[in-house]
Parts: sequence; C-alpha cells; structure tokens
Amino acid sequence: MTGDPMPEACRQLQGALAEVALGIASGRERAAVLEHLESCARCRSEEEQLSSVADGLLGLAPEVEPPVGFEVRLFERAGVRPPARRLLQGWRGAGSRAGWRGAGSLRRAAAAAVLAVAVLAGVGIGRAALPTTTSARPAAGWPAQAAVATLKAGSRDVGQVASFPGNPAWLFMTVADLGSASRVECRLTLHDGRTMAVGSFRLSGGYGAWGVALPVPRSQVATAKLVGPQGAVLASASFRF
Amino acid sequence: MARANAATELSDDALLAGLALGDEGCAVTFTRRYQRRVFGLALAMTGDQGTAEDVAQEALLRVWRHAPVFDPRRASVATWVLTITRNLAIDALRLRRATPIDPGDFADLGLVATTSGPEEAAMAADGMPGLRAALATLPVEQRRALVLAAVYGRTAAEIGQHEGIPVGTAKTRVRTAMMKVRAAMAERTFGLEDEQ
Repeated sequence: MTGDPMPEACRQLQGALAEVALGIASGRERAAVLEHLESCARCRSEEEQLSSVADGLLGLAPEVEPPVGFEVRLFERAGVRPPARRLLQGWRGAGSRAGWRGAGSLRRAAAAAVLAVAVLAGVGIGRAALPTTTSARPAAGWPAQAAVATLKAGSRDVGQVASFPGNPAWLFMTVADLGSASRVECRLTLHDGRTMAVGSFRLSGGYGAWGVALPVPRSQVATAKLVGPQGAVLASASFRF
Repeated sequence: MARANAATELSDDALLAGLALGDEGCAVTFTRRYQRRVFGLALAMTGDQGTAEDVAQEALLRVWRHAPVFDPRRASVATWVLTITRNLAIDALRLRRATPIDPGDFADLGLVATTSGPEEAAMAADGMPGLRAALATLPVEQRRALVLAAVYGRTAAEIGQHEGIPVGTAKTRVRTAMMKVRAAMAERTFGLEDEQ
C-alpha cells in the first residue's frame, strides 16, 4: 500500500491539496496545486479522494422532514401542478395498473436522460439524422437519432436499449421486470466478434435505467447483453446497422 | 409490487434529465427523494425552520432550472444538490449576519444521523461508507475546524477568527483532520477489498 516514497514536491503540497478539495484555498495555493496536478498522477488521485471526503461531509447532516405544505409551496413556486393530485392520479396509485404506464414513464425518463447527456457530450440531438430502429416495437419517446433495440429475456420483452452516435457514442437502456438480480453487467459483442464489458449497474426489483459512453463507434455494436452475478446472460438486445 | 412506482426506480441522473425536459413526474419523484436531505442540511446549517425552508425551496428550484447543464462527469447528483443547498445557506447566514449553529453541534448531529429507510441507507452507504466513523475519531477541535471549512465554506483565516486561534493553527487543524479522514477512508476501502 505504501509504494514509493513521496517526492518532496508532492509532500510540500499535501496540506494545500486538502484546502483545494475543501474549496477554501487561497488563489495562490490553488494555482500552485493545479499546476502540480497537471503533471502528477499520484497527487491527482489524492485530490480526487480528498474531494470525495469533502463532498461526503455535506451528506452528514441528518435528514429532516420539511414542514407541512413544503411540497405544495414548492410546486406552486415552480408552476407545477400540486403533487398531491398527481400522486392520486399516477405514481403512488400505480401499483395495480402500472405495467405499461410504468414502463412508458421509465422509457420517457430514460430518453430524457439520453437527451440531456447527449447534449452535454456534444452529440447534437437537434441535427437531422437517419435513425435505425431495430426494434419491432415503435421507438416512441426516444430522440430521433436513437437506434433502439428491444431487450429480451428469452421471448419476453424486458426493456429497451438505445444507442446514440457521437464521439463518444452513448448507450442507454431501460430494464423492467428482469427477475431478482440486483446487479448486472453490460457486455457488448461487436460485429467483428470481439466482446467487451462496458460497465455494470444496479437493478431494484428488476427495474433500472443506465447509460454509458461507448469505447467504439455504435455501428460496431452487434449485441448488448446483461449478465448476472453468476455469469448467466439474463437478457440481450441486437442491433442492425 | 415491483412494477409500482416506475419513476421512483429511476437513477438520480435519469430523474434529473427528466427534470430538464419539464417532466412533472420526475419533478415529484426527485423532490420526494431529496427534500429531506436538502431541508436537513439547510436546517443544520441555519438552525432556523423558516430560513431553512426558504433555502431548501430555492435550492430545489435551482436544481430544476439548472438540470439541463448538470454534468454527471463532474459530480454526483447528490453532491451537486447538497452543494447548491450549502451555498444558499451560507448566503442566507451572511445576509442575516447570523452566526451559524455551533460546528460541533453540526458534527454531532451528523454523527448520530439516521436514514429514514433502506433506500436512503443504501444511497448513503454508496456515497461515503464509514465517513461518520472516521469523523468521530477526530479530536473535537479538528472536527470543528473541518466542519467549518467543508460545510460552512470558512477559510483558514475565518476559522481562526471564529475559534480564536492563529491562522496557522486553523490551517493545521483543517489539513490534519482532512488527511486523517481520508486515510481512515482509504484504510476502510482497502479492508473491504481484502475481505472480497
């Protein structure tokens, strides 16, 4: 764990690293640290850990239930319909009839996630493009560039996988009712036969939504598979480009 | 059961993206997921219910407004939301020229904080497991200095003034506390890896 001894330049900046992570360093100290970080992977790693600690400290405050009417006042200020009525009509009462409505909401929200991240990544959703929809089902709710494939567990539809062009390209998926696995790994099979794991994510009660930047152009992706903790393929989606 | 509340199953990032597009369902779910944490932080910092509500509401409104520019590569949603809350609480305290609650009290509150359910517990555990325990091992004066810096955004000079100690001593307390907590966290991480 200890590794090589710490160089003197790094040692001198250890204290300042903490203050930079906390956001309280002076301009001079901050500049010195940032200059050093450009060329020192060791201190960059240290700074990331210190920043995590600083971020975590904010989460130490106990949760407290806001005063009665907090939500109503908040939603009024935001110009959104009061939540109580929405809850009666939708989310909370959805237990017995949520199937398609729930999946649609999930898909719409994940599509929104795609859009937001794609905008951040400079994909340019607004440009004209030729979507390639590989699903037999309509790709309603997804942005136009999405190449959408149905995620299947055997013959059962358990979600959708959408890929987006760009550099990097992005992959997003929604998963619904995929059994009891709490964590799944996403593995891609490329058209040239190579396979690669691109990340893992948690499912809650078989549901989840997740996205990842692709290390290859999306046109190279043939299949996206979700693999359970024991290595079994739980679901897969095939693309055609 | 598993199909119920599809929106509540969404990740923070997906909810925020829904917010960015004006999805009311995402707004409701996001608010319900975060309002207790946001209000809790605001109340812990300001010590006043009315001010805390103002801060919490403004923080959530800003999250909604700025959701389209949130960059998940820079910070987690929780960190972003709580940082907005913290900054607004600091502004409110400065505006009222109010004295923040005792940083020792904040740390003590944090040390005994409990989460309200398994979902929140999982979220907290995902964030910084063991942070409370690490903080608890610090000498009181170091913990106070660290809370003043991390939560209240106080510089070493301001901490020195607040605590009645030289700036150099304040710097040392903050830096030492930070390094100790980081080391404890790293040790915990390595320990967990060894167990697996």
